[in-house]
Order: sequence, then C-alpha cells, then structure tokens
Amino acid sequence: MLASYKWLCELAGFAPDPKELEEKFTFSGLEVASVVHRKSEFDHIVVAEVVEKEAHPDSKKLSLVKVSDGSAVLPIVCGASNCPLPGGRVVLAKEGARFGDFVIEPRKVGGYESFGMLCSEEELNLGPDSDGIIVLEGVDASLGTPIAEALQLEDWIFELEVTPNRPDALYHRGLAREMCLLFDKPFAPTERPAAPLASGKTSDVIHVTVENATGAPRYAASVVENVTVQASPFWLRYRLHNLDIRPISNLVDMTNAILMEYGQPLHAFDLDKLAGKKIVVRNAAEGEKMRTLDDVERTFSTDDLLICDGAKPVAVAGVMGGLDTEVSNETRNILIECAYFNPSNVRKTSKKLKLSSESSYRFERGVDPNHEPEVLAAANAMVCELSGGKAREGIVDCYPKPIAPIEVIFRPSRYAAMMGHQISSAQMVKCIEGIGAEVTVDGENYIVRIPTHRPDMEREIDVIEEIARVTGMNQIEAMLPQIQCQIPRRGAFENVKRAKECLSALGLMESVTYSFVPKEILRSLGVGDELITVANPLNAQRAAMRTTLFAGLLENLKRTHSRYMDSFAQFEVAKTYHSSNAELPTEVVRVAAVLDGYVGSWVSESSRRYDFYDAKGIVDSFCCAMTGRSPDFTVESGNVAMHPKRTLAVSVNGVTVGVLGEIHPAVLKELKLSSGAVGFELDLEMLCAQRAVATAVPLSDFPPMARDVAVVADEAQDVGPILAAFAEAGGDLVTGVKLFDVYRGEHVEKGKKSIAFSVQYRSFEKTLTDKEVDMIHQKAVSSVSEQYNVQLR
Amino acid sequence: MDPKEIIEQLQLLTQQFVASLQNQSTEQAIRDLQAAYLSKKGKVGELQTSLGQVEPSQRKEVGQAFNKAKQTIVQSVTEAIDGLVKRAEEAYLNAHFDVTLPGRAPAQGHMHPLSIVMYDIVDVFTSMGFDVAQGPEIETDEYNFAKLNFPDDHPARDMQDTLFIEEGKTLLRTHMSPVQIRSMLERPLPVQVVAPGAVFRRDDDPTHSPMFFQIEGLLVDKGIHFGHLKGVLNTFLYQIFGEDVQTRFRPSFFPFTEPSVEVDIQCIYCKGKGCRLCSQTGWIEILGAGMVDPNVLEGVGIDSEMYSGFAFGLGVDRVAMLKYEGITSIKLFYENDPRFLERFRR
Ligand SMILES: [Zn+2]
Repeated sequence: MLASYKWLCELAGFAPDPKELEEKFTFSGLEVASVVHRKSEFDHIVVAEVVEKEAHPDSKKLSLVKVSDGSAVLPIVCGASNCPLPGGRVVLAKEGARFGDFVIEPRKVGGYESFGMLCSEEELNLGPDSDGIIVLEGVDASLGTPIAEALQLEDWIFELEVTPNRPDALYHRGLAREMCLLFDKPFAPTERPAAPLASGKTSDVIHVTVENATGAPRYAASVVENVTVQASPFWLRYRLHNLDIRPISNLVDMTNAILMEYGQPLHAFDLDKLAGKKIVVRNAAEGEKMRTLDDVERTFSTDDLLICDGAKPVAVAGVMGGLDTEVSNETRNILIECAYFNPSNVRKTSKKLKLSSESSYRFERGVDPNHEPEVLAAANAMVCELSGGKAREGIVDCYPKPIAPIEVIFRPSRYAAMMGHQISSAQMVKCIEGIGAEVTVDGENYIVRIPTHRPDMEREIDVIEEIARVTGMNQIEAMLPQIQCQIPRRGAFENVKRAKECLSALGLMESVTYSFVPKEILRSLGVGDELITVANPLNAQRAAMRTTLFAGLLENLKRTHSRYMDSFAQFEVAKTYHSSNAELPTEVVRVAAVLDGYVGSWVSESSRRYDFYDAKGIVDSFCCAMTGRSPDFTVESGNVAMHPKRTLAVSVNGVTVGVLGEIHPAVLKELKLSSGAVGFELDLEMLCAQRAVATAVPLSDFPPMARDVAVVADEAQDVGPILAAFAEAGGDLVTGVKLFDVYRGEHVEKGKKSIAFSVQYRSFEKTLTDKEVDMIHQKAVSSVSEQYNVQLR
Repeated sequence: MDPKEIIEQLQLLTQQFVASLQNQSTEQAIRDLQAAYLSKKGKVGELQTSLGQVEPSQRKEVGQAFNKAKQTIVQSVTEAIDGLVKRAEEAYLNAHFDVTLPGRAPAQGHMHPLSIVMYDIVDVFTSMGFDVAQGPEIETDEYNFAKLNFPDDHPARDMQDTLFIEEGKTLLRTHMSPVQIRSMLERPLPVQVVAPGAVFRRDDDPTHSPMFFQIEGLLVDKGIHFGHLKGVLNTFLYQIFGEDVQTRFRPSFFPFTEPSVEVDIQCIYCKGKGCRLCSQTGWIEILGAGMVDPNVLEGVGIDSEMYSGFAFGLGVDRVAMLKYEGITSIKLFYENDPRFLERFRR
C-alpha cells in the first residue's frame, strides 16, 4: 500500500515529522518498507517562459528556443513537437538538474548551444505523459520559481506492508485515523461540500434488484448527469501517479481517488449504455460470458455474482467491470456503484478467474458496509467538481439486513494477564476509542462496540491486541517464565542427530537435498511406482516426492562432477514418502550415502577410488555405533538401483534395515555418470529399534599365539566363508581370524588367488604351548582345505 | 708359554680391539667385534686356552691380566654403545625435518551448515526446558491451516504459497505450526516444545528456496503472558548472536497468534549504523512470534481462559546466513557443493 504523506496530513489535520510518522506506523504494526521523499529531485528545475522560438535549420524535430527564467534568457534546443510559442510557460531543467545519473550542463545539440532542457511529465516522474513537454497553464508563479514550489510537488510516499487483518490501513482516511491515534489527536477530517443537484431523484432513472443478498449485502448507487470527460487537474493526476495509479480521465481518476481515500471500490457505468434502466445483482448462469475491462472474455459459473442491466451482465461483482458499459470520452451520464460484497464470494470468483484487482483485493479483506452513503456523497461531489456535472438527489440503496457493529466484552484485567503489563484503564479506553470504537463500562467489563471498518476485530483478544500495539510492544518488560521439568520425548530426534554425528565421524559430508525430485530418476532407481506427486509443482524437476534418498545424492554427485571435482562422499538423513491407505502418506526416516571418486591420500601414498568395501565398512561401523550390534550381510540381486553382483542386504539383529553396494551402472549412465559409485540406504528408525545394551566379556590374562595361513583358491571362491570356516574349525581357542592379503599374479596360477590370513589362539586357562597350537592349527587347516578345495601355499 | 709374552699379546689385543672399536657404527657391529675377541673362539678366548700351559705359580698374574683385558674390552664396548646411542639421539634431534608437508588427517566428515545451526538453536531451547516435537512433512489442510485459524477463502492464506499434494486436502507443510497443533493434542499440559524441520513453499528465486528449514516453539501453561515471550526470545537471541545484541518487537499479524509480533535484532554487521545487509535500517528481522490465538487453543481442546501460551518461529536458513558471512544465496545450502560444505567443518 502506497500512501501520500501530504494527503494523510490533509485528512488528519496536522503534519508530524515524516520520520516520526514512519517510526510510529512501524511500531504500531504498519511496517513502513520505504519512504520516498519527492523534493530534491526537482532541484534546479524552474518555471520559465518561451521568449523566442524558431525552427532548426537542419532538423525537423528540433526547434531553437530562448526561454527566460526571470533572471536570464537561455538558448535551448528543444525536441518536443508541442513546444509553445513565445509567452508559453514551460518547465526548465537548468544546469545542475539531475535525472538519475544524467546531469544537465551546457552542451551542443544539433550544432547549437543548449543551456538546459524543457521537461515532460514523464521525465520529471510527475505522470505517465511522455508525448511532449509540460506546458503550464493556470499556474500562478513568477518565472524562476522552483517547480516543486510552483506545483506543490513535495511529498513523502510511504510504502506500507499492510497485513491481511488491517483493511482499514488500505486507504488514506483509515491511515489518517491511525495517525491521529498514534499522535494523540482527535480525528475529524473535513468533508467536501455537497454536490450540486440535478432535477429528479436517482431512483427515477435506475431500479436496483438484488437477487442474492448474501453475495451482495449492500448495493447502493448514485447518478451524476451532464458530465464532461476530460483529463483531471494536475494535483490529482500527480497524487495518483505517486500512488502508482495511472491517471486516465476525471471519471476514472475519481473512482481511484475515492478508493484510495475511503478504501471503497466504486464502479462508474455509462448510464446510457445500461439497458432498461435496471441493475440486477444475481448469480451467473452456468457458462454465461462477458468481456471484462481488460478485454478478456470471461466465462462464469453459478457461484459467480454478476451485476447485470436489463439485458446482460455489466460487471463481475467486486472484481471488474464489463467492457461494454465502460465510461468513455463520450459519456454524459454515469451511474456510480458503491456496494458491499461478501468477501469470501469475491475471493472465490477472483481466484477462479485468476483475476485480481484493486477492487477484489479490498473486498476480500472487507470494506466498511456502513459508509456507502457517505462515500457516494463524496464521489458525487468530486465528479461534479471535476466534470461540471450535477448529481441526482438521493441514492438507491439495497441493504435489506444492515450489518450492525458487534459488541465485545473486554476485561481490563485480561489485558494485564495476557500481556504481563499494567496500564491505566483510561489509557486503554483512549486506545479503543482511537480506532473508532465506543466503550461502555459495565462493572468489571467494558462493552466495546467495534466499528464496521474493523472487520478483523471480533473478540476480546483483538481488543487486547489493539491496545498492545498502540501502546508499543517495546514497553512491555521481558521476563523468564517458570518452566516445568518434563520427561523428554525426543528419541527419534536424537537418533537422527546421532546418525549425522556418526557418519560425520566416519568421514562423510552431510548434504541436504530437496524432498521433491524428477519422476524419471525415481523410475530409473526402480522406485517410481505409486509416487506421491505435487499437484502444482514449480517445475518437472520438483514434481515427485522422493522414495529414495539416492535421488538427491546422485544429483549432488552429478553436480559435483560437472564442477570438475572428483571426490565425493556425502550422506543425507531425511525422509522418504510412500503412498498409504491412511489419510497421510507414510514418511520414513532414512540414512543414505553415496561415495565416488578418489579417496583422499597423503603425499606419496598411492591414492585409490572409493569402492564397494568402503560402503561395506562404513555400514558396518555405522550399524555398530548406532545399535551396538554388528550387521549381517546377505547377497541381494533383485534391486534395480544396484549392481546385481555387488550388492548386499543389511540386517541387524535379524531385521533387514537396508541395502549397500555399487549403484547400478545403468542408473549412473542415465545420469551421464561413469560407473563405480557406491552407496547405502538404511531405514534409520528400524535400525535404531535394534539397539542393544552393551555387555562386557571376560578378558584372558594369558598371551595369544598367532599362526599365519596362506591358501590358493579359485577366483570364484569368496573369502568370507573360508575365514568363517576356519574360525569354526579352530574351536574355542580361536579368538580372531584376520585377513591380511588377497593376492593375484606372480607365483599364483591364473584364475586363482592367494588368500593370506592370521589366526590368533588364546586360552582363558593357561599359556598355550607351540605344540598345542600347532596341533589345533594343522587340524583346522586341513579341514578347511578339504572343505573348500584350497591349496596351502 | 712365557707369561710375559701372553701378557704382552693380551695388551696388544686390547689395544687392537679399542682401535677397531672406533670404526664400528652400529651396536650390532660392536657386539660382533666383542664376540670376535671375547667368545671362546675369539682372539682373547683362544689366547686364554694357553693359560693351562703357564706355570701354576704365574697363573694368578696372567689370570688377572686376562680379567683386566676383558674388563677393559667390556667397558669400552659399553662406552662405545653409549656413545653411539648418544650420537644417534643427537642426530635424531638435529636432523632436518620438513614440517611444511601437509598433515595426514583421517577422513573427516561434518554436518551440513543447516544442521549445525539447527542443533545450536535447539540446544538453547532444550537447555531452557523445552522438548523437541516432530510431525509429518506432508500434512492435512486441517492441521496446516484450518486448526491454525486460517479461515477458508481468507486472504491470510495468500501469505504462504502452498504446494499441494491434493488441493484442499493434503499439502507440503508451509510452516512448522502443524507440529504445534499435534503437540497440543498429543502431549499433556504444560506443552513446551520446539519443532525443527523442513517446510515448503511455492517460491523459487534467488532469495527463496521451495524447501527450507524452520524452527517453531510453543509454550502453553497457566499464566503465560507476553512478557514471558519477550524474555524467552531475548534469552535465545543472546545465546545465538551474543549477549550484546539489541532486540526490538514490532506488532504484526499471523492468523494463529494474537497479538503477533515480529522481532528484529540490531544488524550484527553494522551494529545499527545501516549497511547493505540490513537495507540501511540497522535492523534485521529474525523471528515471528505471538500469543497463541484463543481459537487455536480452543480448537485443540485447551481452555483459553485457564491456559495461555506463546509461539514463535524462525528460519534456520536465515540464521545460518546471518551467522556465517559470505553466503550469497539460500540456494547454496541445497546445491551441496563440497567446496561450500567443507567451509563448515568444525
Ligand atoms: Zn547493517
């Protein structure tokens, strides 16, 4: 909402310091986003008179003029076609005048010296007119008078952030009332003198029927005859321009001026274009059509409220008028509509038509249903003043069920209880009355009659809020409440935090990705069925709710590669979303990671790429850290997202919690990534549910004995079972089997590999002798060699 | 054999030993040298076999000479080894060493800056006695709007551009407030929670991300008033931005609180003088808050005459951008560029 300080002062009857007004507005809940002071931009721009004018010898466009600013005569080269003859008054920008970064200085234009510039409205940002320079008429100012003074241009334009609960702050009278309240002055704006009357009553020339009084609780109208459509005077055009409203003609400008003064949307119809001297307010027939002012044909349904004449729709109630009955330059007689339409009705129609207007914006927020006669009187007076017309006597006013101000019981003690703040009841009453409400004291209770220009105020708490905001929130003393001790219920939250800490400690970087991803990536990851999708996504990239965290991590990987980095180790702990029969989809907290590229290595140590075993090792450590249990791994081959031979299902305590392995090369190829990336995805809640309490074990005091074994096995023989079998065969004395080498190459037959591991033996009862260990060891070696068909090296 | 000759030879051997000891540079070599003289087959050892041929009357003298020679050898060995160790120690202490090579750090990960800031904020509140509450990210219209006093077809709904799953029924929560509702329904009074989490809006431009993080908080109990709201929020802001931070409270509007306020902190960069970051105002908006609207309390079955409460909310992304200099766009948080993320190791 833009507001003119000058206009506010006229209505409020006093002129505070603009800076102070800005502060007061902001601290009473009307945040001032910006203030533009219109003055210094007019420096060095003055009233001047043309004293000579001749054509430029070479250019048809340019003329050579001499202008007087009262103290000197300056030659100017002027490019405007409407440059007046000698005696005409113009606006001269002299040396030093600034237009943005451009500063006026003497220079040659078309070969001739020019000592300034004659300005157009647009150049001075006084209005939209860029067709020619300003020719001043009826301006009573001596030559050389600064233009800001001659045209009274100084103003401060306030940009206010008006919250949806304050329709009263969307117009100047409302703001002026607020201003008086904040500066402790009475609010008594002067009213316009009444419009001159034409003969006959409004009701003689127009008949209004409201068929839907819920949609249009009040419909009032007046008629002004014999208007002359022309441009509005400069002050009005300038005022509207400053409020970012384009001046059009006196009739249209009047409706906008009234809107900005009273917050009441008006609509002016060309009375002579209304068929049958009738206005009918009714719901549209299904599929009924009308062309609106913006020259778009609109189709309506039965929920939409239309204003019709005797034959056809002429306006969409509260949203926009029709093109056919618009006022034009030929208009002689007008009907001014001043109505109160149901806010939610207007909003529905406006939303459906995707057509929002100044009018619908205000009706949605609620205009005052009880000021229509006053507004029409002001509108009539203004039209007559601007256009020379005369108003018909009276208005037509369909208001079958008047909306009465509501009464709220307010307890001053309740203010103190809610705000923790004591003020006198006299001060409270002053605040309440300042917004236009009436207060009657009834014992402990105050009965507050809420004015209908404050439709947001319905309850005691709203009254408390008004007092608090006017008094100032910064006045209230801060204190700490007594907070009770409670049993925390944030286990799931702590699990997530632990998971993040744990994976960070394992060397991974946390990432945070969008919950919505492209459908395609989920499809290629094999989890694209029964997706939850966003009905109104920003774009296709953000259309589907992820069913796996791999989607976002792989996008990160792709972005990392595209930015010339070749080392990636990120995890994410977040939700995936899955359709369910319940009211809401199922949300699962998962933890996932993707690793790819080079593992950091130190100086001369050889570097390597992340591979399957990194993922497996991290999952192993992570599961242990989160649950105190080692995970079990089983081969998983059916997962579309994962490599068929390099994937394991992860289970903890017998419960499958997720998967780890190499991302399927086809998935990576689709993302234009090379193969090799590995990752894992686990259900965090399921994992954490397996948490075990740690138990200690007895420790042997006797020394261990180690034996190394190296065997040669077929390439296809997995190592895991051999080690497990050895541990088994070695019996209770085996306290560890540690793999230290898997070797292929020289001295090992092709298609075979050498597996070397170290076995530790230890007793709880005694120091083992070499002989004892050798016996057990030999037995285990031959048993395993036989079982797995491996040769001792 | 002539004892004199033996004693002379012994002296010669001893001298020889001491001389060749000088050439030995390792302990092993010294021990080997020692063995070459003192072992049974060593030079001294062999000479000792001739002791049997010495006149018994002179044996004592020769024996003593042997003992002395052995003693000399053993002692010089000890000295030589000590010297060697000492030299090695000195060499170790004096050798050039390149300390400028990079450290060999174990792989080190870290949390995302949004997590870091979120846990920092949550920790402040949990230390004050608040618990953490959570709820679904896909919410019902009922919990996201209706129960929060957003009437149907009210312009207040325009304040948050919503991403719908099923228009009018389910949506991506636009704020953390539905968790407040769930907390009031599920927890016993007094309700004292903070709710951190992802929220979603239909906004995507350099200053808006369609997903971002918020923390909302709620305290409902008997006798809670606006002064408490100020006290708790001031305490929180002091913890996050420093004890000297100035705060101010401006009236505002949210459908679910009444009265509502916006809380500004004095610009932490210019300390109130005015700069680009605070749009020359000297203040930065940081929190929305207010007293829980009685309609909201009644809507979850809490007697609004008996109980009152305050609620607040803030953007984690916004706090992170204030706390960490140089984050030029909120989008950086969601791109996960490793070069960006690794700035936040700690
Ligand atoms: Zn600043």
